[in-house]
Amino acid sequence: MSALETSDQRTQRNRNGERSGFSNQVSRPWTLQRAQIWSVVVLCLVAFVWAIGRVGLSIGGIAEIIEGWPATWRLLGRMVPPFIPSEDWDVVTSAAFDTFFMAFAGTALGLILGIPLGLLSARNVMPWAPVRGLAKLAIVFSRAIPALVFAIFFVRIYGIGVLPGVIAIGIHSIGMIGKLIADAAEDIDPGPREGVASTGAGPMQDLSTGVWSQMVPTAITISLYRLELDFRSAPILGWVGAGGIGVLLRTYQGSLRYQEMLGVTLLIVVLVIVLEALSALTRHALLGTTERLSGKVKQPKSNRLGSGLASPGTKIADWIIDRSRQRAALRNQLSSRRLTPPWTTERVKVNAVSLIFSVLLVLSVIIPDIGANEVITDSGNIPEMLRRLTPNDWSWFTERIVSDLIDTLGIGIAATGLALLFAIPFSFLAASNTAPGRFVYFFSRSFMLLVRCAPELVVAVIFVAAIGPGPRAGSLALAIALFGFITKLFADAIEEARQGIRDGVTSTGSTRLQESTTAVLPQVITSKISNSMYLLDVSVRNSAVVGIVGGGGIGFLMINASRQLEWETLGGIIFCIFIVVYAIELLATWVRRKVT
Amino acid sequence: MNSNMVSLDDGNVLVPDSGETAVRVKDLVKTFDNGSVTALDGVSFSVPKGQLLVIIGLSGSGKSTLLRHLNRLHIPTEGSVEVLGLDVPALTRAELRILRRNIGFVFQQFNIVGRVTCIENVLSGALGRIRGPRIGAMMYPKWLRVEAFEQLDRVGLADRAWQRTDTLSGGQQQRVAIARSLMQKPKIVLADEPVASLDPEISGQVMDLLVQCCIEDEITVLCSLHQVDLALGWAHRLIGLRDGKVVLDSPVDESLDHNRVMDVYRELDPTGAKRDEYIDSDVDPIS
Ligand SMILES: Nc1ncnc2c1ncn2[C@@H]1O[C@H](COP(=O)(O)OP(=O)(O)OP(=O)(O)O)[C@@H](O)[C@H]1O
Ligand SMILES: [Mg+2]
Repeated sequence: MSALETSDQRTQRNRNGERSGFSNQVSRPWTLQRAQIWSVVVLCLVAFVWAIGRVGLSIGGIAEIIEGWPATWRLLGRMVPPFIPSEDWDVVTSAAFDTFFMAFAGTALGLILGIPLGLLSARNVMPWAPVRGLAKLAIVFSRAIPALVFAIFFVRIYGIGVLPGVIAIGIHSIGMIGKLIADAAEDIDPGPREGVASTGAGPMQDLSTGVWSQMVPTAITISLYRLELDFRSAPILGWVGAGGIGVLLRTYQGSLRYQEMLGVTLLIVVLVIVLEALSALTRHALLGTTERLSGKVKQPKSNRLGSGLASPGTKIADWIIDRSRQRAALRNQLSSRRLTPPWTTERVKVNAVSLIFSVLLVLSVIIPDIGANEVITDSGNIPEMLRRLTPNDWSWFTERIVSDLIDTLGIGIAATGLALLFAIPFSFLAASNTAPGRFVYFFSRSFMLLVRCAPELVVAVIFVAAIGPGPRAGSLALAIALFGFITKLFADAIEEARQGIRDGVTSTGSTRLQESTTAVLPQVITSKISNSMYLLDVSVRNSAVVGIVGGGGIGFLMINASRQLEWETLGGIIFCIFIVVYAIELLATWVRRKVT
Repeated sequence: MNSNMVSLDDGNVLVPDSGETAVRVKDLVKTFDNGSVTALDGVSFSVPKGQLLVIIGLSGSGKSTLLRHLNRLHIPTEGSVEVLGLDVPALTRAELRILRRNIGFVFQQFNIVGRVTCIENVLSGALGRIRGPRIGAMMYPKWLRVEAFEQLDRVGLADRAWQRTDTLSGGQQQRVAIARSLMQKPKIVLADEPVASLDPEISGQVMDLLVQCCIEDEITVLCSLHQVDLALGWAHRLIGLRDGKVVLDSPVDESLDHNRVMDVYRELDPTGAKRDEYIDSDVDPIS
């Protein structure tokens, strides 16, 4: 019945541009959505070509780099071997500790503020739209402004030191934490919540038992992920005076001590690697417990003591054990059950991790000498500062700002494009199911992980030193950092692609390359495009600050305005950065929705 | 009319004595999607205290919708719902909490939190009796934990207390959900197809357990079920729904005509309206 189509339906189909017969199966129908996707792809390509020219990496620009190679080579020569003078070791260690604790306390602050904000912006938690809107606004704002910009602001409030760093990291972390928490909250299963509500639970009880208890694993994942990102962004904050190891980087660069500079850079990379490993271990310990289905409870082994040698010690032990057995028996008679959870390995692990994190949190307040009294005395200056930052007229809006903003966009786009260009083929080498051999796989994977651990702005410092300041250095540095991220994302996506489908293609007698393109690529292509769009907004955000270390773009004017106390200009630039980053984010979200 | 609730010092609240009636529903109409779907179409009945009532009906006949009105998971479009002497749609938030505390709800999909321990799920049944949010079983006072163990013991799962709930079998999970309802010390238990996702053997056991506990605690039960045989053993009364209307309301005794019960489930409308339609048209309903 339904197999036959009415003439009405047929005209409808023809109007949609589909021809009857087989021809419409040979080439895909040209739908509006497909047209949009293709125009986005073409636009991206055009933007990339433009950006490459803008930042000076077109053919002429590359020729210049090659021409200047001897000078670069000499400069690079001055960086090796990297070393840190022994008289500086004290300073370096304490700065490294400061950085660690700054990142840690910053993430903690971000969680404390971000989780409630995220919950308030979730549709199914906060029914009241105006509150939701406000929470969302705060989240968007904190996401769009880079941590380094917050750091400049808070250094002006609290003075040079760790405190502005902690607050800058915390405030910027709110954005991502809040957004992910809101998504997680909106994703929960409404069933258990209804179950809790129908026991007569109040709103807070509903939140804790009905909503939060379902979200715990996601919240742990989010927190650890954010912690990793903050470990990566913390080292550079010292560049603008927010404490930590970045101060040293700046000092060495300023006094042209390149060997020391590279030494500190390598130290930062090592630190990030160690911290990433720790975070992975923590995730394993915690999520192993919350995700794995652990049915069995270990029976406690009965304590047996040798009765032959009855020393006083063993007698006392015997007596204690006897007593505790008696007491346990009594308790069993009373309630016949244990009223506290048994000490399973999972519980031990969870408690150990919580203990370690609490200790670290306390230490991170004590060790870097955060200066809690400054929070109280100086926070009063914030409104005054915000007032000063608000421009009264448009005099700050110069041509230089416009051209630097365009540079910033160019850096962001060029970096993303370059990174994608190299990462897409490379990710196939770094995925276990498509790599041509074990050695290639292992080598690419380690290379990728190493690159990933170098914070982008730290890489930028090196590039600026090697090929001179300007957008060229900035975009190359950002491209390298992004390359690590993209490769990891894509390689993981490829590994996740289902083996079964691939086997289906292999059995048609195809080569390994055909296999990769036919079986794997279509599966990961959409997630690739949507991830690249996400990377574009990360990259534009970074390109806004890369100028602070000399990498071109608006960052240079911003740090200048801050040094020369031109408040209105600083405020105006921050506003511009917000607008640009937010616009890119909206665009990225739109494209992601179209693609997936 | 609800102002005569009495609040006791320990947070327990007495619902006013509503006489002998636990639930009274009158001309209840419920439409969804701006009236395009009529789920309930003028349902009226009342349930005396202590009665074990089973609601049967085809899928989509409105059983779940009806039960969910009784603790205001739905709000009526028209008609009145009175539970334990309280006018349910008119309750304030605080009063609603008090009412819900007195009504246990057992869901077809269990609706327990899978990733926490059984005892925590059971303890969440006591949330209406205590103040403040709780995360983790250890945040509940000890006397409640003792009580939770007693309830888990009744459903035979005391030894699983500290196990993650989603590691249990479906039947065991539903028993945890029952323990949670009992933990509320309810006056009424509403069960929405509590055994629909369990195998027949386990269904019988879980149903027996639920009924037995409710009889022990003198709880009024309203339960929707597909298995009529399972119901006939213990139900006091049977109500049949079809297209949101009551088409059968009868005590379960010798006078109950088995055919009348099965008619509720027949393809054809027992009132004969649709039967004529089918006969008149040439369309073979199967193809
Ligand atoms: N939230 C809702 N929105 C729209 N329609 C609904 C909603 N809930 C229920 N309905 C409709 O109301 C009618 C009755 O549904 P209900 O879930 O009460 O049936 P049921 O008798 O419980 O069926 P089952 O045996 O399958 O559980 C159905 O037509 C259903 O589609
Ligand atoms: Mg139902």
